[in-house]
Amino acid sequence: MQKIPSGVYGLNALLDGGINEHTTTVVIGSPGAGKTTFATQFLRRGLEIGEDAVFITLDEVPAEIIKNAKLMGWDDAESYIESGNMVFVDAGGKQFSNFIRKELADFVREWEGHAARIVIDPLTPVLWSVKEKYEQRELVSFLLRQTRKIGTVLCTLEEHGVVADLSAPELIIPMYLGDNVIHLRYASHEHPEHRELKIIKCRNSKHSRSWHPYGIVRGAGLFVRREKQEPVRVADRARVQAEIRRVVDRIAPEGKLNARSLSHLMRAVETIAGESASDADALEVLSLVLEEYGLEQ
Amino acid sequence: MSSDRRLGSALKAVVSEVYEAEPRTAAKSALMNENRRRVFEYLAWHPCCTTAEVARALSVSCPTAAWHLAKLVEAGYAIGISRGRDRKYCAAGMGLADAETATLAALADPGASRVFLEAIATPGLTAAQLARKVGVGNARRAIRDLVAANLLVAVEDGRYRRYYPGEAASSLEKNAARRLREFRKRLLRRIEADRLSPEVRAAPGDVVEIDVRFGGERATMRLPGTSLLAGRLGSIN
Repeated sequence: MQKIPSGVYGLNALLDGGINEHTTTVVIGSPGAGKTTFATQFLRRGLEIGEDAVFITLDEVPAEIIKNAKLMGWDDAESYIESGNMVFVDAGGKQFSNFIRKELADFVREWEGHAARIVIDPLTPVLWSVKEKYEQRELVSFLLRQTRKIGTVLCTLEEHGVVADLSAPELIIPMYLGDNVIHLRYASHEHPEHRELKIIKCRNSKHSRSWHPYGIVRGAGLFVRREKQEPVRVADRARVQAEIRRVVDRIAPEGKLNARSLSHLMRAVETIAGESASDADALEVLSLVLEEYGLEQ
Repeated sequence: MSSDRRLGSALKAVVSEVYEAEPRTAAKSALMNENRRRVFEYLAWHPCCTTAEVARALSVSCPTAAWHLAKLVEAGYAIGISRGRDRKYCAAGMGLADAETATLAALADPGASRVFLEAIATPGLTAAQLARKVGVGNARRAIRDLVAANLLVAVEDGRYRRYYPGEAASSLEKNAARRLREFRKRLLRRIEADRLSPEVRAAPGDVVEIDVRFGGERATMRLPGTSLLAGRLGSIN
């Protein structure tokens, strides 16, 4: 099975090399956990390597999503929309579930064999659009089986109630039906905030089975740390910047990346340097970013 | 990958035309009103028309046309598109991309469609010659709109600027047969959801007829078979 880079820094290694192409991934998390950030990073990475991206938003308006994507360092998100490589589909839950029932089969027949990256954010309104659990299961099962024929699909799911319980029916159904399930556990009431990620399943992969701390850095996005240990805070800005300059000097002339990937990488690296006083360890994030682009130090 | 269409924009077009409302009960089917059915047929043959155009073509008042259009939109048989000053209407389920809507909207102006037909009949006329042939007062504006929609292209020959048919019409018609087939499929499903039993018949010429039966009542709708422009331009080849 072909692996594709997830776009989330540090995650590919935990997924046995990346996400399997033509599969469905379900990302579960409470509000603020970073589901939409995860989804935008996934699309952006695909766009960088020339894939088409579709963002089906059932909740927020596209403008809001773009605004937040920019905060995560995706300055040129709009250029992908203008060129037609990225398309936002803004729909209501009921409308989208009608589409699944009436149109999806025909649509997939027409476009089968394409390999776009498709995000459905969040899937929850689709489930709520039908009453019976049996119908919910049928609908989601059909959606996931069909859409993966035309691309690699990522759905987000809202986690309500007790965090990390995962027994609510609207979580259970997609968790069974998705090929890959990633849980973002975020306890917003705890202080300091506590974020951990676990890969609950990833079919046909030797994935990590532990909890991994993750963070969100402005300007770069979501990154996953391998170990559960206190980040080493590098207060010495000069050291961070020197290290980054060294990395940039090494990568730029080698021509390993295409122009788009390189400019995204540079932007991420620059903002990480600027944020070095924050919670995250700038050098650790830097090495995870490099890893995403296959540029291990 | 298909050259002119992309997965994302195709998906967007289909999703945006899915009926949000649940199907009405049979007694209320929007198509069982004869005038409304005529409005729907008119939309199918003349995508992107305004309320005023529908009223003029069917000899009804503007408020009557507006009322039927609103009912068709509400029932999911038509969609309204805001373009420029006017609101344009299309039959739902045609899956038109933005560029195609622009092409059809440019041809909705009767002056523009006459200029366009002249340019096809005699390629290479100047603006003055086109204006004389069609006798339209503001032919220059029509020409400008047609050029903007890539229905005409201007070629300078050193002395005059001459006009030739552009790519827009042929690229629209290239996909039209498939589009219309899908449109009819969606329409049939929509009619069935109204508990009417539709029946399709091919009719002579480029027409497909759909019989709709409701109790003892029976009606026939005539819809375009393979061309999106035939309603406006007649057969142009």
